[in-house]
Amino acid sequence: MSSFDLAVMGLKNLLRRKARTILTVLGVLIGTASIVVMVSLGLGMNKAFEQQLESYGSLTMIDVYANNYYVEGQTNSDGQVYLDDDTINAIEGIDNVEFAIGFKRFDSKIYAGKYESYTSIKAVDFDKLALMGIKLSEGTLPTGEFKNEVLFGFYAKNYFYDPKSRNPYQSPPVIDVFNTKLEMLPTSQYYEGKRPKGFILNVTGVTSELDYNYANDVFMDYDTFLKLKNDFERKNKTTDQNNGGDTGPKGSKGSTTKENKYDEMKVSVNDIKYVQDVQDQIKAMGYEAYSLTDALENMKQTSGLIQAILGGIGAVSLFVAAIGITNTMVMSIYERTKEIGVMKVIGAQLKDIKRLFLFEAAMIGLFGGILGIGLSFGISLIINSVLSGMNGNTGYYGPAILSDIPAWLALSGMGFSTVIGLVAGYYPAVRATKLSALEAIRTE
Amino acid sequence: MIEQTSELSSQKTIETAPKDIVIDIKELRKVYKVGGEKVVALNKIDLLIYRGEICCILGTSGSGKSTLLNMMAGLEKPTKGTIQIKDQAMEKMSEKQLAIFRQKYIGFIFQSYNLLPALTALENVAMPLIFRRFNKSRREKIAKKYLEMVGLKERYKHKPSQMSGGQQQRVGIARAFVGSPEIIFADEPTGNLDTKTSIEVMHIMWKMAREKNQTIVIVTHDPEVALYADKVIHIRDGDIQSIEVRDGNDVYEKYIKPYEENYVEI
Repeated sequence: MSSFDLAVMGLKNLLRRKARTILTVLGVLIGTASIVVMVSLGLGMNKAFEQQLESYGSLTMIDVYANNYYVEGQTNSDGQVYLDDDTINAIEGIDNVEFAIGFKRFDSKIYAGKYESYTSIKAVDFDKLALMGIKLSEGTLPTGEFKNEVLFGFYAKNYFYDPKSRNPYQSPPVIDVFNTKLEMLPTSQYYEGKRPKGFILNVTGVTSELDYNYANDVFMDYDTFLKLKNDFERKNKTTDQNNGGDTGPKGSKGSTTKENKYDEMKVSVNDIKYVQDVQDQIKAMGYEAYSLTDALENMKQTSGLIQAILGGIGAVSLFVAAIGITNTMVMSIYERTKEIGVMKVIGAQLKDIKRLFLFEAAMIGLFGGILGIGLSFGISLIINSVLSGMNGNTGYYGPAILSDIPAWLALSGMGFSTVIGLVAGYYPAVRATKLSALEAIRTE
Repeated sequence: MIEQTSELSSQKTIETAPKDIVIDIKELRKVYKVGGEKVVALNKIDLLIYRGEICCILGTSGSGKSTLLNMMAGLEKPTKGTIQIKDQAMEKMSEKQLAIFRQKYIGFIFQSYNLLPALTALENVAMPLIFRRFNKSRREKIAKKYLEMVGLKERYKHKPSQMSGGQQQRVGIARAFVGSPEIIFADEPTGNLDTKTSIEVMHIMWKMAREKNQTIVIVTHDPEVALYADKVIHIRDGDIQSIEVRDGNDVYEKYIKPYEENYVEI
């Protein structure tokens, strides 16, 4: 029997028993829809997690710290590692690392007319900063075109206050950093009255409000800042006594002891799948390394568990549907005993009969699957429009997508329901082939 | 037993030309167990059927004639003995092999027609060809030819429920013959029909089988059906009582024609 004839015959048989076929298909439909919607919720959750994490920072970035950064002074202890340019070179030598960038925070004060701010300067290599893909809301990244260029975190603008005001912190002024003369002193020292002359800053850009990563930072090129700082310290020797906590790199004073040139480094990895590996290698070098993949892993584990539970609930209904298919096919065999017997006697092969029943069962599964996917898209649409609408006001961290049905889920949903149909139809199909032709053609 | 074999061998010598043996049954026995009790359906059957023979197994109900037919068609396994059809031992074949064998060599006509109710006459007749993987246009062409042969040219599109018993049986006959099988088994083909229709049906079967030299084995309790046979096997209580052999060439003149004419006169 050719496959085409078999398909025609099978479809005719299904159409002959419309009511029962429709009811069985309905069972599969509900089963498929419930499993797909459940998985889609899990996927939506995953997607929301990822979006959320990405708003915290890039998922391909690893933060690196020296291991015992807080135990300064024990410079000769074994295993002591430092964050310096050698480290950057070493880390950039690891496979799949795009670049490593170091940061160091220096105490500083910024004056804007009558306002001032104790914003520290984050010294960084501007060439590498350009690689970070920092999003800006205004201006450009530092170009090196101007003197003393800085990049402002969007929130750092709000730290200015008027020291002479009675309530200096109550209503922070809105400073237009581009058009205001900003003067920076590379020290956190408090000056009563007259203060030493600082350095005029050129703000090239402000970071985007969508990225909280760099919100509070004011970036300045490392070498530029160091030069300013040295200049400043040379001119104001007497103020040195106050620089207790953070003295800056001593390497510049010609000392041979190694020092942390940076407090912190970020390492960019070319693909998220290598992040864990690179992170492990950096840890093996003796550094502390953190990445959002840690958090992502945790979240994925959690959401995987939730998905499994949700999918399990869906699977139960699909299982019930599978029993429905088996039941329908067994009933069909009882009804068609005579027909099967006649077919056997007039020349049907056993495999023809088996294939016919398997085909009918698979078709019930496939129809149920297709309609179930359709229903799932509908439900998903409703969930997303109704529920995420409710979430809309909770801020930009709220997930926009609660239910996500990617193409692979839709296709595998259909495939799965078809396979369920085949599996459910197997027992009835085998039974049909074992039916005695004699029994079938008895005249009584 | 010895008498029977001598009878069979003498029968062979009567024939002018050597004939192919199509069905060879030896010491066939079938015992059913009904509620712990043994019921002997067939005791000991020896039978030879030749190519092109129209055989009639005649017996009352319970004589074991249907059991014999079922075993020849491979629908039941014998308790003992052998059935060779075309030199193949039916009792040794698996279900799968039997299905292939039936498809190749055997056509079947049922008492209650057993047409598939959802299909038209044409589709019913074409059914065996579907299993032989004939394409649609080819099998419909052949099926139409056979429907025409049984006189149902105008009824291609009719469903079984729209046809009389005689018409349904003629569709059944067309279905049995459509694959040109060498052997056709008919189980009480006129059992549900009146005499006039029975004559029509038997005439068609006889004519079609003769034309292509096909072998027919008919099981019946109706002696009038036996008039169409070249060989009548009388069976009673599981044993062959007698075998009546006629010269195939004058069966029509001697038996069928007078019978049919006689009936029309009445």
